[in-house]
Amino acid sequence: MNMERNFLVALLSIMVLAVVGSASLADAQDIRIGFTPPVTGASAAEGSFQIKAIKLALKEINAAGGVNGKKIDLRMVDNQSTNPGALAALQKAVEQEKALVLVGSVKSTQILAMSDTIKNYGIPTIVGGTNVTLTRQGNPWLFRVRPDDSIAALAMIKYIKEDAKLTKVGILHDTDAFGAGGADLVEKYTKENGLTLVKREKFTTKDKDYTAQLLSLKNAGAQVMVVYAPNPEDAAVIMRQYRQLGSPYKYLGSPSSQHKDAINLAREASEGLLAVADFVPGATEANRKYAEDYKKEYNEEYDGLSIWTYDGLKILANAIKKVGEDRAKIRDAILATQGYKGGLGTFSFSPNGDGLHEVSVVQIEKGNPKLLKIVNVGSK
Amino acid sequence: MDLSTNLQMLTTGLAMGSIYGLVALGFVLIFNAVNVVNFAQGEFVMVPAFVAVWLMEVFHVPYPLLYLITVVFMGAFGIAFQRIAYYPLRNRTFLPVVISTIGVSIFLKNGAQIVFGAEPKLMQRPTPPDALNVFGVFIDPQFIVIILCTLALLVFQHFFFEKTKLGKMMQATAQDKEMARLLGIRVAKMIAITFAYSSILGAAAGILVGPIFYVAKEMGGMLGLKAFCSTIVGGFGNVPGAILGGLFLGVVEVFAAYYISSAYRDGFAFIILILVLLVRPQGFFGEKIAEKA
Repeated sequence: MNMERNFLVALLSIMVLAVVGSASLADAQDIRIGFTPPVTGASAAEGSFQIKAIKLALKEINAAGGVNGKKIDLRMVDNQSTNPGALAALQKAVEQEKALVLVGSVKSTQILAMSDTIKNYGIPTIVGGTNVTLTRQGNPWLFRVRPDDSIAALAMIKYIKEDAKLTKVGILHDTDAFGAGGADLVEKYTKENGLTLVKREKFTTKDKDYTAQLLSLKNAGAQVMVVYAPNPEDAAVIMRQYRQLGSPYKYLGSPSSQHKDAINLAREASEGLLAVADFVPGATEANRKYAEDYKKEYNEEYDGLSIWTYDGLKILANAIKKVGEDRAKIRDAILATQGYKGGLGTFSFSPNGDGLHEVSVVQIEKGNPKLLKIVNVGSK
Repeated sequence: MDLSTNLQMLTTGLAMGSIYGLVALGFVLIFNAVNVVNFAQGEFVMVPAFVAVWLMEVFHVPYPLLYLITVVFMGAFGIAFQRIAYYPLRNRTFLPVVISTIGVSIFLKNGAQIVFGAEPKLMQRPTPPDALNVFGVFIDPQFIVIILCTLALLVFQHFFFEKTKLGKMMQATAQDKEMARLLGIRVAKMIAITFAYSSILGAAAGILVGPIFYVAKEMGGMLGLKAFCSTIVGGFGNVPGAILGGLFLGVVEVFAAYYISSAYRDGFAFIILILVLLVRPQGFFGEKIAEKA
């Protein structure tokens, strides 16, 4: 125990020295932006993609002359892939690194752990977690740059009503938090939009036979089945059995249904099915440019789950450009961001801090998701 | 309540049930031979499925040859398993061996992830992907193959144990090891063969269900548990009982999911397990413990 403690103290001292050392080298005139990615721990792989994405934005901003004549100095602090780590990283970024604003985490649970402290500091923080409640808890300093989980559900219903013009909705969902939560939202929006929910069927992750559920929806008269399955492997089994039962209604899946794993496993059974996606690679000008620049910089394909750090840093930089280095004014400037075209989509912030209100409805064509329509649900 | 829905569910239930039964057979054989429940039985399905996919993807081995290689491999695998997980503990009680099989099961799952990766793999189907429409009932051709293979294996097994000398020697070993040893039967060898055969049954199951379940490290987990339930329901140690128990569970699951609740689909198998243990602990076809002694 003592040994361990001594080691920790030594390690921390080295880290502090390193930080102090690098801090003294930095130009006092730079604008410091904190970033708390997972460098170690379970999400380290995701973290490395997030760092690549944000560094691309950093390079672009500084190459274009920085912000109001100043360079951006990105200060990264490891959140260790844990909630306490995320909180410690936040404190370090603000107190030691003197970050003006922050790009936080993509994990909803870490963001919840950081939320109160962010509020106390009053520091504008960009986050990527998609749990609906994050931006609904009266914390005016959180800004989400990915579509939250409710948007997908609402967009599905909007698409069913306005584009597919169907009225009888059946739901098939996993009983885990994501599946049940998504199905609750689909049920709510179905009713709010005057459609009929004919039946709600459930399954457990990794089930292998869905005959009972699929037939039950058919006999209940469903015209379309909304599938909320977090696991692409399960979505693939559902797709195949849905096909084998003669595709008795339309299929509209959550993002797992257009995941490459699901398509690879289901092969021809996935052809022509519908799903929603946060975005479709190459569907917009900004996304194509991001893909190109990323490839040029790193000589590899980008990771779809990490673009938010790129868009987030750019949105922060734009806000600072407009109003200078005042946190309250930056907050107002972020909220005033409307119609900004980023790699993930078109950002228009709502008063509660949500930046993206759109998801894409895709159809699987020859093994690739093809954009049918970007559904904007507006700010709620 | 229409006929075609019920027929459809009955067909799927029987197909799923024959998969449970097939895996349950492996349980029964090992239990009869050494009085131990092998909780790695589910992994006996996962390992050959991965081996088959690997042979297919890397070496493009054609189908019949693929079966042969996988079956031979799993035979050797069963013997190695027996040597590592059972043999050193053969003079101990029931529990250490059971825990040892659980250990091997965990090892195999994680080993598969390290060797083959975390993403589920697609096993090419030997049968066409479209369902056959038989009077309005859709049947996956692969299910028909599974049912036929299970039947064939049952018939083979019956003749093997009743008509061949090796089978009779294995039966004798299962019934009374001391007696068998006195009669000059090499008991350790018979037990090794039983493990090999049980593992080969796993290979059959793995190759058959791989194309419909997809091949992933967790594919054997729930399958092994359901098969275990099947053996209890059918009467532990009883071969036809294991198959019938599997068919029963498969059918009940589908109907219960449709008529009662799809959320608790997996729960029904275990509810039945508990009910059977309470009401008829020897299972539907099991002999009474007193008779066995």
